[in-house]
Amino acid sequence: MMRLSIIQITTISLLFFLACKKVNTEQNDLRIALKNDANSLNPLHARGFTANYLNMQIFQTLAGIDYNSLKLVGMAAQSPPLVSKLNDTSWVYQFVLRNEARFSAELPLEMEDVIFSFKLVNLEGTSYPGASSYYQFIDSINTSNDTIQFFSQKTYFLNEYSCSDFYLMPRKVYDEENILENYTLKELREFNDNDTLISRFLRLFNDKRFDKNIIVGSGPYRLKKWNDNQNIELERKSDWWGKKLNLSDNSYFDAKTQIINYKFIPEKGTQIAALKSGEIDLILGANRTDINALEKNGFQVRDQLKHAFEYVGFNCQSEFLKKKENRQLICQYIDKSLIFENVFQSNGKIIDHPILGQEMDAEYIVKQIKSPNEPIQLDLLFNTNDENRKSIALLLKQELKQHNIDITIKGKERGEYLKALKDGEFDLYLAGIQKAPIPPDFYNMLHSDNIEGGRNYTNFSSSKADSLIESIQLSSNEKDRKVLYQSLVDELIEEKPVFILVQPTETFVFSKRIKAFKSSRYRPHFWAPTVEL
Amino acid sequence: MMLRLILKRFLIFIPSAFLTLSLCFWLGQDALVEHYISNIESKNAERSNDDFLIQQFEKAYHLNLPLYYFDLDNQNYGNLELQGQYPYWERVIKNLLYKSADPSKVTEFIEFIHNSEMDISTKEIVKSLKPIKLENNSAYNLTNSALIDWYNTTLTSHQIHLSNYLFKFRWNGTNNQFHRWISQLIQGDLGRSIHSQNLINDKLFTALLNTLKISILSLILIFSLGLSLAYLVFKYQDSKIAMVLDQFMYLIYAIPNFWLASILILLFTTPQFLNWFPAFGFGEINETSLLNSTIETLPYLILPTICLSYGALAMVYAHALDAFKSESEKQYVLTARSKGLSLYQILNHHIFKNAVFPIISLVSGIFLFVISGSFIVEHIFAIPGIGKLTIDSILMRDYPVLYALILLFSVGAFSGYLLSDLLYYFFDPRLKAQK
Repeated sequence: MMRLSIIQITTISLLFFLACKKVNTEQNDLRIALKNDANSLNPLHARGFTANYLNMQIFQTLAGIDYNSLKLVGMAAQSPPLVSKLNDTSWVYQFVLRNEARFSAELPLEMEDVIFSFKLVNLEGTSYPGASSYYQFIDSINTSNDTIQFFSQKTYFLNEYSCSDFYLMPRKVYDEENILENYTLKELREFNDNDTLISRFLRLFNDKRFDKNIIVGSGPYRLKKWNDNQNIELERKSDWWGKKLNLSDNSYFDAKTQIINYKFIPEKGTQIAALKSGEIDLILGANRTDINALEKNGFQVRDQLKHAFEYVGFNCQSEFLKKKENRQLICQYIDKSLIFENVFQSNGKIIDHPILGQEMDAEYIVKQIKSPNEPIQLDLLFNTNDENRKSIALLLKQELKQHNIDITIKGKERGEYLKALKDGEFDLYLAGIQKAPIPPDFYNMLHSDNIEGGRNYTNFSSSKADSLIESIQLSSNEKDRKVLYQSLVDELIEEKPVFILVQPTETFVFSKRIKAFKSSRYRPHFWAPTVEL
Repeated sequence: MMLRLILKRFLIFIPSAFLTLSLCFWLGQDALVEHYISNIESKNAERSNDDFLIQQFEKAYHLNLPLYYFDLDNQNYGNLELQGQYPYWERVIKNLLYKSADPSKVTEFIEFIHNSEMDISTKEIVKSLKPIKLENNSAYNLTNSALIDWYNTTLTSHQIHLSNYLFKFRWNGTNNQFHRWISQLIQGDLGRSIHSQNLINDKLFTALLNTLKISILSLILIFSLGLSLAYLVFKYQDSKIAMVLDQFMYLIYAIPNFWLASILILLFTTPQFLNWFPAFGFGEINETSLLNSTIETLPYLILPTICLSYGALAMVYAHALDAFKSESEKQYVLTARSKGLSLYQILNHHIFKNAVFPIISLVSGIFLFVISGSFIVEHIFAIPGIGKLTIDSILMRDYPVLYALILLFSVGAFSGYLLSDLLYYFFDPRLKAQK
């Protein structure tokens, strides 16, 4: 037994030291740490940040928002749509497809692929829930030679973004039997699941092959390797059609990086250790103390203002908060700078209105409303998945306590938080909104149509606000829209259904291997293909 | 005898696993319906295709069937004609039944809600069990205002109905959700994940393989090192090194594993300190042969193995040392000493064999612990194993995956207990003699 014990201890120790092996850190690929794996690389099954971000590198849309200029630029189409008015309510959005566009050397991108892809996003059973309603405003699609026309009976100021925004997928790969050709757009939107042909198509399309093994897009990258929950490697196509066009001012045609290796590391401390040891080149976000320490160790840090804001929402149907004076009362006691310094460590920007990127007159004149004589009890709801919101909740509780307002903090996990929001089980709530850098539409968030069962969680109802929101939706002129936005901001400041706090930043930390790095206001605030090693 | 033992354990395992799965399924299915449906609703702002998606979901998971082989409901629900037909409205049905004790009226109302052209927001109001405010322009208002009045009145009713407290037993036979699921399970089909639609077999197999890589090393480390150290400390118990080692083992037992994991990463993976091992994952294995791929993976396994095994190692050490000490005080040891045997000989040939029994009783618990993985270790080292899969499934309410994991844990527990019993049989000659 003695001998055995010594042998065992010696063997284990030897194993420990023999296993010491430095990982090869000088590689050709760009290694980015992300928190979670993708669930699918089929654009219609993709859910979550990772899947959607990777799909943007593999697949293309007709047009998209450029990461540098933040304007709509052509991708598979030569340019953003040409918008024409047919009559008072009818519009046509016209694209010209690039002749060079291809999925691969053997597979060109043709009109039938555009039509197929659009039919796909309008077919229930393939789309992510809610996707089909995004395209409901398009009544029909027409193609001739290299021109695509979308016809709409609805005037909506974001139509040109919406009709550009569906992934182009090759019909020959994803619908080998050409089943969808037999159906019009209208029939697909109204189909009955007893239809055996469509059911067959859905069965074939929803097969897992298209999530992991058969992924064919016209973008600059293809899937090279996928180790479940470990990493996904994208490789730049050597014969990619977009390279010949030489459009380096268009971020979607500026694919510098040969291989992008997304590694899934859920724990931030481990990401930082991996960055230090050279196993990772880039991480997104970290604690300020860690960021400062990394900067001192020679790592590069970049802060980018997000196109997002954090806010406090009020339940305008709750007993105390149904009066706007009471909402204004609470707002006058919230110290934004305290939240900005303590929670966001002064990173970002204190803002007063939700129209990001535009100068608005949002001065709020404090009306000096008196504190209540009797203590007021209010419930504050927040999502426990977000550490910042917990800190904001504690700060608000502390501040309002001094003015006779007693806040009960209710932290809930995301699913329960959304349910509680829908059921109105709160007086105040903390939330954030992150959008693309396009003119905002507040219909879902603030219109009275969306009070019951919609996303107007504040239960805010104002005929003036409703009318302004509807007018914004119908406006096609930027100048007119700005005037409408200003009126809406004035109304929101007066009525206070929400109190806007801070526009936060995203922080990137990267190693010296990265020579050139551009950040952007467009989520996720950087475009990996343009990173230069 | 051994075969009889294995068969006996297996026969006990089957009903316990069945009961465990039944309970989990019973609790999980309702929550699954609530969560998935509210997920559809929260993502679909206009909710134009909610009904279709919900119907698809109900069809895919056979939610129209009864939940289990039998139901024990209150009499009102038992007399309801539309049981199971509208799983989406189940909560509303049960609530209205409880308040009104009128199954026919509830049936009429639910069929009206389901089949009418009522707008989505009004359906939402009913789903939330709030009163419907009749608008002047509502198409349904003219024909069914009586029904809506009944609904609004029932919501605010506080009347007690005795029939709510009388129960009805109903036998559903094998045409139920649980039976369908368990039949597929027996054929090896665990179903699909709700979140990703991947086959659960694949997910589970991949996660288990990753966990096993660390678990096997951990088990070897725990038992071999634990026993060896206890043996050496017992043999040289008067020396200073033994005393220090003894205190050290008790100290490490108190260390939380998330803290240790962070410290190990800091010490062994960063250039500021030792930088001996990689910080996360399993790396990219290029070797095809099993031996070479194991050697390639080894650097990635060391730190997670240490984190997973140190606590159990300390426990095995403590139990083994206590067992050695208590055995050494027994009469037969005194007899052996008086016969002239050295402590070394007594330890090897007598004490060790008797002291091993308390360790064997730890095998089942430790086995299950390492098989089920540790979420904290897997989360910190970015290892996609069973622990991480469990927590992700809980957070995403992916109940089909959770049922499969519970089955895995049951099998793990059974295997652990069986291993314990077999080791007892092997080490204890009295059990062999019973044959």
